[in-house]
Amino acid sequence: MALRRTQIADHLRQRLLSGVQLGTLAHGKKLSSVRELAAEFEVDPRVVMAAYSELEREGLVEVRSRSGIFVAAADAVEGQLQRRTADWMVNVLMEGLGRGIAAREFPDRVRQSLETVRLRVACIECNHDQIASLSNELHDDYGVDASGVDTYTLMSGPEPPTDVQRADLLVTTRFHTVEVEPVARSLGKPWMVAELRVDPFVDIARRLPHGPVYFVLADPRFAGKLERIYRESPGASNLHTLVTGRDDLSQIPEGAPTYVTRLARERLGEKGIPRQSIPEERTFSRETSRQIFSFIVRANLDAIDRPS
Amino acid sequence: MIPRRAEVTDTIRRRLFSAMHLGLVKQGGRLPSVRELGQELEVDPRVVLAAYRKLEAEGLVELRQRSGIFVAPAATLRHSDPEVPANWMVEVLMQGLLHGTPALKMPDGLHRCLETLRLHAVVVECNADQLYSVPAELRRDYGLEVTAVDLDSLDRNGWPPAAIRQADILVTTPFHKAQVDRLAPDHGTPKVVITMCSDLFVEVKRLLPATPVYFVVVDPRFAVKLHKIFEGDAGASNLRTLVIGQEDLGTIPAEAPTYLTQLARQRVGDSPLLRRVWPEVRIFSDESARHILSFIVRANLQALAGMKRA
Repeated sequence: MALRRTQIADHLRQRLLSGVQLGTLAHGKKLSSVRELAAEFEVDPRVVMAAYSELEREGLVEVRSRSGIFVAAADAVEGQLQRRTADWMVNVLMEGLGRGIAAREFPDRVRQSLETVRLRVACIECNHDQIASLSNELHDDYGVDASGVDTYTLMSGPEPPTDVQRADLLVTTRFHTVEVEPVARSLGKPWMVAELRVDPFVDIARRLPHGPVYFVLADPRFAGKLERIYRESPGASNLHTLVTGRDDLSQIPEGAPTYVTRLARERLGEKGIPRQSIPEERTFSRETSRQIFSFIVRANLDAIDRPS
Repeated sequence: MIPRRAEVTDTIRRRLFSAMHLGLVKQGGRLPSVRELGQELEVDPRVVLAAYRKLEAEGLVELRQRSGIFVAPAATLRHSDPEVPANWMVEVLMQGLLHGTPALKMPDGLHRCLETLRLHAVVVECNADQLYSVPAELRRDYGLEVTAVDLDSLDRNGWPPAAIRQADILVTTPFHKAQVDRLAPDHGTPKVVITMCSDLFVEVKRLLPATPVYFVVVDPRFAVKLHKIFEGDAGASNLRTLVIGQEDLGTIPAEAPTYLTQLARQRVGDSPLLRRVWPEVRIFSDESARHILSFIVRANLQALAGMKRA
């Protein structure tokens, strides 16, 4: 289904504000053009323009005719960030009051819902890049103890690895449901498939017919996987995988779309990341985020109710 | 417009709470039937039933087949021991993530939005009962430091005490807004006019034409104020105010709707009255709560931004 204007505006706002918050977007920096975004979201450029106009009204971007779209001046964006945070906090605290939770108790109630029990999640994938992406995000955004498990070790031993046996939840991607499901069943453990918000695999497939796409990664097995995935796609020969520490990244031409995995970013350090790399966003889809939070919150609330 | 289920649920819940505060219902007591309420609220009985089901899920009422609807034996006012519904907490955390706050940073983030600054509120009122209940709520729910200032003491001295000049926020009720404006002319201190949650007054107004309603207070000035509030309403003469220490609480009939202010609860000691009525905790209207929270959160965020720049 084609995205509507408000969805695209939400997406762009989110990208911009988190970019500013994380320091990857500076004030005055030029943003993706209407044409680029129209291609990325597969919508009419007019829809993207309307979304940008909405952001302009909010004081987040400056649309300069003929030269492009820029992040608005620092004060405007900071002010906007602060107002949004304030509105959101007040709404959340009001909801809390409506449920009988005093504002000053609220932070602790949130903490209890997250940290009463320390949950262990095993991230199962077939290469270090994807394992690192899954487990870092689970750890950084959701605060669980995330360990990485290679599908190879999952299948090879007489019984599943300790990290899997001790885990409260197993997480994998759609590529490995076949391996993970039977293990989860035999151990009686909950498991879930992490879906990504903007699936880079879909994104890449869309770009391949139009020119070379570079993918910088750390684990050669992930390179092999990518090549298998796109073997049959139009423009498959346009996919170039580069392994950190092995391949020369300077061969990436200026301006070519370049994906860099989280693990490769870590290995390369801030300076080594190719400049034109496509910014990494929070990767889990909303549905996946919700599932993870449901699992965490329910486990914690259960633990609170259960007399120790 | 036809009220939606959520509105009907809210109405019934509020009415139930008001009735509890007034001692009109007890745990296990029978509540109006689906049919009766449907007629009174002019909605389809199925909507009322759905609302009661919701309240049953909240642990407030019990639906017994064929015999009716009752206050749950374990019902407590939502304020006393709120449960955190998992679904709601999940949404809170989702929103946090969308605002760029990872889950584990949420508690600290919220905490900083509330308590980076030690904010000082001054409550200006004209009677001991409200000078007790308003500051109590500001301290307990919002974590503010509060000084209570009696308007009459101001009139004697003729000059606002230092507390008023040093306050981060001035809090009063609509009755005294003009006086507070006079006392604290514009030197930038924000003022919040607190309106009380009106459910109780609505309930009292509903009852007055039919039956006497008793208010037990500590400060005679609050008794006078109450009479002013209901002046001109149908059955206003049915409003009975009793001042602790001046009037005999034993004259209150056993089943009469009775309301005790928070200060009165403190002073009354071990009275059978306390066993009849439910403790009441939260008195600010939603609008007022939002005002105060907005003030606190904005002040703290501004301070945080200043600290970041420095």
